Amino acid sequence: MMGLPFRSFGTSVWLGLKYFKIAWFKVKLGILALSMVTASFIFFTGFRGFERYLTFIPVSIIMAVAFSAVMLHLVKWSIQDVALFKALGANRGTITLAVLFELTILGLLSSAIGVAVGLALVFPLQGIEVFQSAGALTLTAVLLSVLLGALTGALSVWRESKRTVAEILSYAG
Amino acid sequence: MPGEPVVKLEHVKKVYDGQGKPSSVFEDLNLEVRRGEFLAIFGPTGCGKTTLLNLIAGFDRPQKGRIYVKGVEVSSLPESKLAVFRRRNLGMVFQTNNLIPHMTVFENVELPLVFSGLGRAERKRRVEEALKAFWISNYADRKISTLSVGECRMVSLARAMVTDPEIVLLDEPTDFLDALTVDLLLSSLKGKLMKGKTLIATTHRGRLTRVAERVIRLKKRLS
Repeated sequence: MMGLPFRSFGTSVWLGLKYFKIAWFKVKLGILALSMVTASFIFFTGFRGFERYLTFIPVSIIMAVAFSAVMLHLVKWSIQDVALFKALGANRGTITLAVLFELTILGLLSSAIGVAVGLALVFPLQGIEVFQSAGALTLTAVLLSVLLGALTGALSVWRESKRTVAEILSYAG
Repeated sequence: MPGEPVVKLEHVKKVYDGQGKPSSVFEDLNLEVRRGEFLAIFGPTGCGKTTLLNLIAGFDRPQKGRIYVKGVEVSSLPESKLAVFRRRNLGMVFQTNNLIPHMTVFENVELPLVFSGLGRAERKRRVEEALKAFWISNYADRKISTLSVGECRMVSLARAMVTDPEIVLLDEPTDFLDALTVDLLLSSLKGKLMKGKTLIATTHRGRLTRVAERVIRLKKRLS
Protein backbone atom coordinates (compact mmCIF):
# COMPACT_ATOMS: atom_id res chain seq x y z
CA MET A 1 0.00 0.00 0.00
CA MET A 2 2.90 2.33 0.74
CA GLY A 3 3.97 2.15 -2.87
CA LEU A 4 0.60 3.19 -4.21
CA PRO A 5 0.99 7.01 -4.18
CA PHE A 6 4.42 6.68 -5.80
CA ARG A 7 3.08 4.31 -8.43
CA SER A 8 0.23 6.71 -9.12
CA PHE A 9 2.71 9.59 -9.31
CA GLY A 10 4.83 7.57 -11.75
CA THR A 11 1.76 6.92 -13.92
CA SER A 12 0.98 10.65 -13.96
CA VAL A 13 4.55 11.55 -14.94
CA TRP A 14 4.49 8.91 -17.69
CA LEU A 15 1.18 10.19 -18.99
CA GLY A 16 2.19 13.85 -18.70
CA LEU A 17 5.42 13.30 -20.64
CA LYS A 18 3.76 11.09 -23.22
CA TYR A 19 0.95 13.54 -23.70
CA PHE A 20 3.40 16.43 -23.97
CA LYS A 21 5.01 14.52 -26.83
CA ILE A 22 1.86 13.45 -28.64
CA ALA A 23 -0.08 16.72 -28.39
CA TRP A 24 2.78 18.52 -30.12
CA PHE A 25 0.52 20.90 -32.09
CA LYS A 26 -0.96 22.09 -28.81
CA VAL A 27 2.46 22.33 -27.19
CA LYS A 28 3.80 24.45 -30.06
CA LEU A 29 0.92 26.91 -29.77
CA GLY A 30 1.28 26.96 -26.00
CA ILE A 31 5.01 27.66 -26.19
CA LEU A 32 4.43 30.45 -28.69
CA ALA A 33 1.70 32.13 -26.65
CA LEU A 34 3.39 31.78 -23.25
CA SER A 35 6.84 32.81 -24.45
CA MET A 36 5.32 35.94 -26.00
CA VAL A 37 3.63 36.75 -22.69
CA THR A 38 6.94 36.29 -20.82
CA ALA A 39 8.91 38.29 -23.39
CA SER A 40 6.43 41.18 -23.07
CA PHE A 41 6.74 40.98 -19.30
CA ILE A 42 10.54 41.21 -19.43
CA PHE A 43 10.27 44.05 -21.94
CA PHE A 44 7.92 46.13 -19.78
CA THR A 45 9.63 45.49 -16.46
CA GLY A 46 13.24 45.15 -17.55
CA PHE A 47 14.00 48.85 -17.43
CA ARG A 48 15.88 50.55 -14.67
CA GLY A 49 14.48 53.37 -12.63
CA PHE A 50 11.29 54.30 -10.82
CA GLU A 51 8.86 53.45 -13.64
CA ARG A 52 9.96 49.82 -13.34
CA TYR A 53 8.42 49.64 -9.85
CA LEU A 54 5.22 51.22 -11.12
CA THR A 55 4.81 48.72 -13.89
CA PHE A 56 6.11 45.61 -12.17
CA ILE A 57 3.04 44.68 -10.11
CA PRO A 58 0.29 45.32 -12.72
CA VAL A 59 2.33 43.66 -15.46
CA SER A 60 3.01 40.67 -13.17
CA ILE A 61 -0.72 40.30 -12.54
CA ILE A 62 -1.49 40.57 -16.26
CA MET A 63 1.16 37.92 -16.94
CA ALA A 64 -0.23 35.52 -14.35
CA VAL A 65 -3.77 35.96 -15.72
CA ALA A 66 -2.54 35.49 -19.30
CA PHE A 67 -0.70 32.28 -18.33
CA SER A 68 -3.82 30.94 -16.66
CA ALA A 69 -6.01 31.85 -19.65
CA VAL A 70 -3.65 30.21 -22.18
CA MET A 71 -3.30 27.04 -20.10
CA LEU A 72 -7.04 26.83 -19.50
CA HIS A 73 -7.57 27.06 -23.24
CA LEU A 74 -4.99 24.33 -23.91
CA VAL A 75 -6.67 22.05 -21.40
CA LYS A 76 -10.07 22.48 -23.09
CA TRP A 77 -8.62 20.84 -26.21
CA SER A 78 -7.75 17.73 -24.21
CA ILE A 79 -11.06 17.26 -22.47
CA GLN A 80 -12.15 14.39 -24.75
CA ASP A 81 -8.95 12.56 -23.86
CA VAL A 82 -9.80 13.03 -20.18
CA ALA A 83 -13.02 11.10 -20.85
CA LEU A 84 -11.08 8.37 -22.66
CA PHE A 85 -8.54 8.05 -19.84
CA LYS A 86 -11.39 7.75 -17.36
CA ALA A 87 -13.07 5.13 -19.54
CA LEU A 88 -9.83 3.14 -19.58
CA GLY A 89 -9.64 3.18 -15.81
CA ALA A 90 -7.55 6.23 -14.90
CA ASN A 91 -8.64 7.95 -11.70
CA ARG A 92 -9.10 11.70 -11.30
CA GLY A 93 -5.90 12.15 -9.34
CA THR A 94 -3.74 10.49 -11.99
CA ILE A 95 -5.26 12.53 -14.81
CA THR A 96 -5.05 15.83 -12.90
CA LEU A 97 -1.46 15.23 -11.83
CA ALA A 98 -0.51 14.36 -15.41
CA VAL A 99 -2.02 17.63 -16.64
CA LEU A 100 -0.27 19.58 -13.87
CA PHE A 101 3.02 17.97 -14.83
CA GLU A 102 2.48 18.59 -18.54
CA LEU A 103 1.52 22.23 -18.06
CA THR A 104 4.42 22.91 -15.66
CA ILE A 105 6.93 21.60 -18.21
CA LEU A 106 5.21 23.61 -20.92
CA GLY A 107 5.23 26.75 -18.75
CA LEU A 108 8.89 26.41 -17.75
CA LEU A 109 10.01 25.78 -21.32
CA SER A 110 7.94 28.67 -22.69
CA SER A 111 9.00 31.13 -20.02
CA ALA A 112 12.67 30.24 -20.54
CA ILE A 113 12.28 31.06 -24.24
CA GLY A 114 10.28 34.17 -23.34
CA VAL A 115 12.91 35.42 -20.89
CA ALA A 116 15.63 34.97 -23.54
CA VAL A 117 13.57 36.82 -26.17
CA GLY A 118 12.63 39.58 -23.70
CA LEU A 119 16.22 40.10 -22.61
CA ALA A 120 17.33 40.22 -26.23
CA LEU A 121 14.76 42.97 -26.89
CA VAL A 122 15.68 45.10 -23.88
CA PHE A 123 19.43 44.54 -24.05
CA PRO A 124 20.07 47.03 -26.91
CA LEU A 125 18.24 49.73 -24.92
CA GLN A 126 19.53 48.97 -21.43
CA GLY A 127 22.85 47.25 -21.94
CA ILE A 128 24.27 45.02 -19.22
CA GLU A 129 22.10 46.70 -16.56
CA VAL A 130 19.11 44.71 -17.77
CA PHE A 131 20.47 41.57 -16.13
CA GLN A 132 20.41 43.34 -12.78
CA SER A 133 16.89 44.72 -13.19
CA ALA A 134 15.48 41.42 -14.46
CA GLY A 135 16.71 39.62 -11.39
CA ALA A 136 15.17 37.62 -8.57
CA LEU A 137 11.91 39.56 -8.56
CA THR A 138 11.33 38.81 -12.22
CA LEU A 139 12.21 35.16 -11.76
CA THR A 140 9.70 34.94 -8.92
CA ALA A 141 6.95 36.53 -11.05
CA VAL A 142 7.67 34.16 -13.93
CA LEU A 143 7.68 31.05 -11.72
CA LEU A 144 4.51 32.13 -9.93
CA SER A 145 2.79 32.67 -13.28
CA VAL A 146 3.84 29.20 -14.45
CA LEU A 147 2.59 27.66 -11.23
CA LEU A 148 -0.67 29.61 -11.22
CA GLY A 149 -1.32 28.77 -14.88
CA ALA A 150 -0.58 25.06 -14.40
CA LEU A 151 -2.73 24.93 -11.26
CA THR A 152 -5.62 26.69 -13.03
CA GLY A 153 -5.46 24.17 -15.90
CA ALA A 154 -5.15 21.21 -13.56
CA LEU A 155 -8.02 22.42 -11.35
CA SER A 156 -10.24 22.75 -14.40
CA VAL A 157 -9.43 19.12 -15.31
CA TRP A 158 -10.04 18.03 -11.71
CA ARG A 159 -13.47 19.70 -11.78
CA GLU A 160 -14.29 18.38 -15.23
CA SER A 161 -13.25 14.81 -14.44
CA LYS A 162 -15.85 14.68 -11.67
CA ARG A 163 -18.50 14.30 -14.37
CA THR A 164 -19.37 10.96 -15.92
CA VAL A 165 -17.62 9.91 -19.13
CA ALA A 166 -20.82 10.51 -21.13
CA GLU A 167 -21.23 14.00 -19.66
CA ILE A 168 -17.64 14.99 -20.48
CA LEU A 169 -18.03 13.75 -24.05
CA SER A 170 -21.31 15.61 -24.57
CA TYR A 171 -19.79 18.75 -23.03
CA ALA A 172 -16.73 18.45 -25.29
CA GLY A 173 -19.04 18.02 -28.27
CA MET B 1 -22.62 -23.13 -20.38
CA PRO B 2 -23.33 -19.60 -19.12
CA GLY B 3 -23.42 -19.30 -15.34
CA GLU B 4 -24.93 -16.88 -12.86
CA PRO B 5 -25.90 -13.30 -13.85
CA VAL B 6 -22.88 -11.08 -14.16
CA VAL B 7 -24.75 -8.02 -15.44
CA LYS B 8 -28.19 -7.14 -14.13
CA LEU B 9 -30.39 -4.14 -14.91
CA GLU B 10 -33.48 -3.57 -12.77
CA HIS B 11 -36.24 -1.14 -13.79
CA VAL B 12 -33.80 1.21 -15.49
CA LYS B 13 -35.09 4.55 -16.70
CA LYS B 14 -32.93 6.79 -18.86
CA VAL B 15 -34.05 10.12 -20.23
CA TYR B 16 -31.91 12.64 -22.10
CA ASP B 17 -32.59 16.33 -21.90
CA GLY B 18 -32.55 17.22 -25.58
CA GLN B 19 -32.60 21.03 -25.68
CA GLY B 20 -35.30 21.34 -23.06
CA LYS B 21 -37.40 18.54 -24.55
CA PRO B 22 -36.83 15.32 -22.59
CA SER B 23 -36.25 12.30 -24.76
CA SER B 24 -36.88 8.96 -23.12
CA VAL B 25 -34.57 6.08 -24.12
CA PHE B 26 -35.60 3.46 -21.54
CA GLU B 27 -38.67 3.59 -19.33
CA ASP B 28 -38.41 0.32 -17.39
CA LEU B 29 -35.59 -1.81 -18.73
CA ASN B 30 -34.82 -5.15 -17.13
CA LEU B 31 -31.99 -7.34 -18.36
CA GLU B 32 -29.77 -10.14 -17.15
CA VAL B 33 -26.57 -11.30 -18.79
CA ARG B 34 -25.02 -14.52 -17.55
CA ARG B 35 -21.33 -15.22 -17.01
CA GLY B 36 -19.65 -16.42 -20.21
CA GLU B 37 -22.59 -15.45 -22.40
CA PHE B 38 -22.25 -13.74 -25.79
CA LEU B 39 -25.18 -11.34 -26.03
CA ALA B 40 -25.97 -9.26 -29.09
CA ILE B 41 -28.11 -6.14 -28.72
CA PHE B 42 -29.77 -5.57 -32.03
CA GLY B 43 -31.72 -2.52 -33.16
CA PRO B 44 -31.85 0.51 -35.42
CA THR B 45 -29.71 3.60 -34.97
CA GLY B 46 -30.93 5.76 -32.11
CA CYS B 47 -32.75 3.00 -30.20
CA GLY B 48 -30.41 3.25 -27.20
CA LYS B 49 -27.84 0.51 -27.84
CA THR B 50 -24.84 2.70 -27.01
CA THR B 51 -26.69 4.19 -24.04
CA LEU B 52 -27.23 0.68 -22.71
CA LEU B 53 -23.50 -0.10 -22.96
CA ASN B 54 -22.66 3.27 -21.40
CA LEU B 55 -24.93 2.47 -18.46
CA ILE B 56 -23.37 -0.97 -17.95
CA ALA B 57 -19.85 0.48 -18.13
CA GLY B 58 -20.81 3.24 -15.69
CA PHE B 59 -20.06 5.93 -18.29
CA ASP B 60 -23.56 7.25 -17.72
CA ARG B 61 -26.09 7.00 -14.91
CA PRO B 62 -29.80 6.15 -15.07
CA GLN B 63 -32.49 8.42 -13.63
CA LYS B 64 -34.11 5.43 -11.97
CA GLY B 65 -33.35 1.78 -11.39
CA ARG B 66 -30.26 -0.21 -10.50
CA ILE B 67 -27.42 -1.67 -12.53
CA TYR B 68 -25.26 -4.44 -11.08
CA VAL B 69 -22.06 -5.67 -12.65
CA LYS B 70 -20.49 -8.66 -10.90
CA GLY B 71 -22.73 -7.93 -7.94
CA VAL B 72 -21.54 -4.33 -7.59
CA GLU B 73 -24.12 -1.59 -8.07
CA VAL B 74 -22.30 0.53 -10.68
CA SER B 75 -25.19 2.97 -11.03
CA SER B 76 -24.45 4.41 -7.60
CA LEU B 77 -20.69 3.82 -7.37
CA PRO B 78 -18.67 7.04 -6.93
CA GLU B 79 -16.55 8.03 -9.95
CA SER B 80 -13.27 7.24 -8.16
CA LYS B 81 -14.36 3.68 -7.41
CA LEU B 82 -15.84 3.27 -10.88
CA ALA B 83 -12.41 3.89 -12.46
CA VAL B 84 -10.87 1.07 -10.44
CA PHE B 85 -13.86 -1.19 -11.09
CA ARG B 86 -13.69 -0.63 -14.85
CA ARG B 87 -9.94 -1.18 -14.90
CA ARG B 88 -10.30 -4.57 -13.21
CA ASN B 89 -13.45 -5.92 -14.81
CA LEU B 90 -14.40 -4.24 -18.07
CA GLY B 91 -12.98 -3.96 -21.54
CA MET B 92 -14.59 -1.55 -23.98
CA VAL B 93 -14.52 -1.29 -27.76
CA PHE B 94 -16.00 2.05 -28.77
CA GLN B 95 -17.95 2.54 -31.98
CA THR B 96 -15.45 5.17 -33.10
CA ASN B 97 -12.54 3.24 -31.52
CA ASN B 98 -11.41 6.31 -29.51
CA LEU B 99 -7.74 5.63 -30.09
CA ILE B 100 -5.18 8.40 -29.71
CA PRO B 101 -4.03 9.13 -33.27
CA HIS B 102 -0.55 10.45 -32.48
CA MET B 103 0.34 7.49 -30.30
CA THR B 104 1.65 4.22 -31.70
CA VAL B 105 -0.37 1.02 -31.70
CA PHE B 106 1.78 -0.31 -28.83
CA GLU B 107 1.26 2.83 -26.72
CA ASN B 108 -2.50 2.82 -27.27
CA VAL B 109 -2.83 -0.80 -26.20
CA GLU B 110 -0.48 -0.16 -23.27
CA LEU B 111 -2.62 2.69 -21.80
CA PRO B 112 -5.01 0.62 -19.61
CA LEU B 113 -2.01 -1.26 -18.18
CA VAL B 114 -0.29 2.02 -17.32
CA PHE B 115 -3.38 3.03 -15.34
CA SER B 116 -3.24 -0.34 -13.58
CA GLY B 117 0.24 0.57 -12.37
CA LEU B 118 1.97 -2.47 -13.91
CA GLY B 119 5.73 -2.45 -14.41
CA ARG B 120 7.27 -1.82 -17.81
CA ALA B 121 8.38 -5.41 -18.47
CA GLU B 122 4.97 -6.87 -17.60
CA ARG B 123 3.24 -4.23 -19.73
CA LYS B 124 5.45 -5.10 -22.68
CA ARG B 125 4.74 -8.81 -22.33
CA ARG B 126 0.99 -8.32 -22.12
CA VAL B 127 0.81 -5.82 -24.98
CA GLU B 128 2.83 -8.10 -27.26
CA GLU B 129 0.50 -10.97 -26.38
CA ALA B 130 -2.61 -8.91 -27.19
CA LEU B 131 -1.17 -7.61 -30.45
CA LYS B 132 -0.35 -11.16 -31.51
CA ALA B 133 -3.84 -12.39 -30.63
CA PHE B 134 -5.39 -9.84 -32.98
CA TRP B 135 -2.84 -10.22 -35.79
CA ILE B 136 -1.41 -6.72 -35.43
CA SER B 137 2.09 -7.44 -34.07
CA ASN B 138 3.60 -6.01 -37.26
CA TYR B 139 1.94 -2.66 -36.63
CA ALA B 140 3.24 -2.15 -33.09
CA ASP B 141 5.36 0.89 -33.94
CA ARG B 142 2.94 2.47 -36.38
CA LYS B 143 0.93 5.56 -35.49
CA ILE B 144 -2.83 5.08 -35.35
CA SER B 145 -3.29 7.82 -37.96
CA THR B 146 -1.58 5.57 -40.54
CA LEU B 147 -3.90 2.57 -40.04
CA SER B 148 -7.03 1.50 -41.91
CA VAL B 149 -10.44 1.37 -40.19
CA GLY B 150 -10.22 -2.42 -39.86
CA GLU B 151 -6.74 -2.26 -38.35
CA CYS B 152 -7.91 0.40 -35.89
CA ARG B 153 -10.75 -1.88 -34.81
CA MET B 154 -8.26 -4.67 -34.11
CA VAL B 155 -6.15 -2.25 -32.04
CA SER B 156 -9.27 -1.25 -30.17
CA LEU B 157 -10.03 -4.92 -29.47
CA ALA B 158 -6.48 -5.56 -28.31
CA ARG B 159 -6.70 -2.56 -25.96
CA ALA B 160 -9.99 -3.86 -24.53
CA MET B 161 -8.51 -7.33 -23.97
CA VAL B 162 -5.05 -6.43 -22.70
CA THR B 163 -6.14 -6.26 -19.06
CA ASP B 164 -7.85 -9.66 -19.39
CA PRO B 165 -11.26 -8.34 -18.30
CA GLU B 166 -14.11 -10.66 -17.46
CA ILE B 167 -16.69 -8.57 -19.32
CA VAL B 168 -16.14 -7.06 -22.77
CA LEU B 169 -18.50 -4.43 -24.18
CA LEU B 170 -18.42 -3.89 -27.93
CA ASP B 171 -20.24 -0.97 -29.51
CA GLU B 172 -21.05 -1.73 -33.15
CA PRO B 173 -17.81 -3.68 -33.64
CA THR B 174 -18.57 -4.59 -37.26
CA ASP B 175 -19.40 -1.04 -38.36
CA PHE B 176 -17.38 0.44 -41.23
CA LEU B 177 -15.57 -2.87 -41.81
CA ASP B 178 -15.28 -4.81 -45.07
CA ALA B 179 -16.59 -8.38 -45.24
CA LEU B 180 -13.16 -9.96 -44.78
CA THR B 181 -12.36 -7.93 -41.66
CA VAL B 182 -15.82 -8.68 -40.24
CA ASP B 183 -15.08 -12.42 -40.67
CA LEU B 184 -11.72 -11.97 -38.95
CA LEU B 185 -13.31 -10.04 -36.10
CA LEU B 186 -16.17 -12.47 -35.61
CA SER B 187 -13.80 -15.42 -35.56
CA SER B 188 -11.69 -13.64 -32.95
CA LEU B 189 -14.81 -13.07 -30.83
CA LYS B 190 -15.49 -16.80 -30.92
CA GLY B 191 -11.83 -17.65 -30.48
CA LYS B 192 -9.76 -19.05 -27.64
CA LEU B 193 -8.91 -15.63 -26.20
CA MET B 194 -12.58 -14.86 -25.52
CA LYS B 195 -13.31 -18.21 -23.87
CA GLY B 196 -15.13 -17.73 -20.57
CA LYS B 197 -15.60 -14.01 -21.14
CA THR B 198 -18.96 -12.31 -21.10
CA LEU B 199 -19.43 -10.41 -24.35
CA ILE B 200 -22.09 -7.78 -24.90
CA ALA B 201 -22.10 -6.37 -28.40
CA THR B 202 -24.43 -3.90 -30.08
CA THR B 203 -25.21 -4.07 -33.76
CA HIS B 204 -27.69 -2.90 -36.35
CA ARG B 205 -26.58 -5.58 -38.80
CA GLY B 206 -27.47 -9.25 -38.91
CA ARG B 207 -24.04 -10.88 -39.15
CA LEU B 208 -23.02 -10.43 -35.56
CA THR B 209 -26.35 -11.75 -34.33
CA ARG B 210 -25.63 -15.06 -36.08
CA VAL B 211 -22.55 -15.76 -33.95
CA ALA B 212 -24.04 -14.51 -30.65
CA GLU B 213 -25.64 -16.98 -28.23
CA ARG B 214 -28.56 -14.69 -27.46
CA VAL B 215 -29.99 -11.66 -29.23
CA ILE B 216 -32.20 -8.98 -27.74
CA ARG B 217 -33.95 -6.47 -29.95
CA LEU B 218 -34.38 -2.85 -28.99
CA LYS B 219 -37.05 -0.76 -30.66
CA LYS B 220 -36.79 2.94 -31.25
CA ARG B 221 -39.16 4.89 -29.03
CA LEU B 222 -41.38 7.26 -30.93
CA SER B 223 -41.78 9.84 -28.13
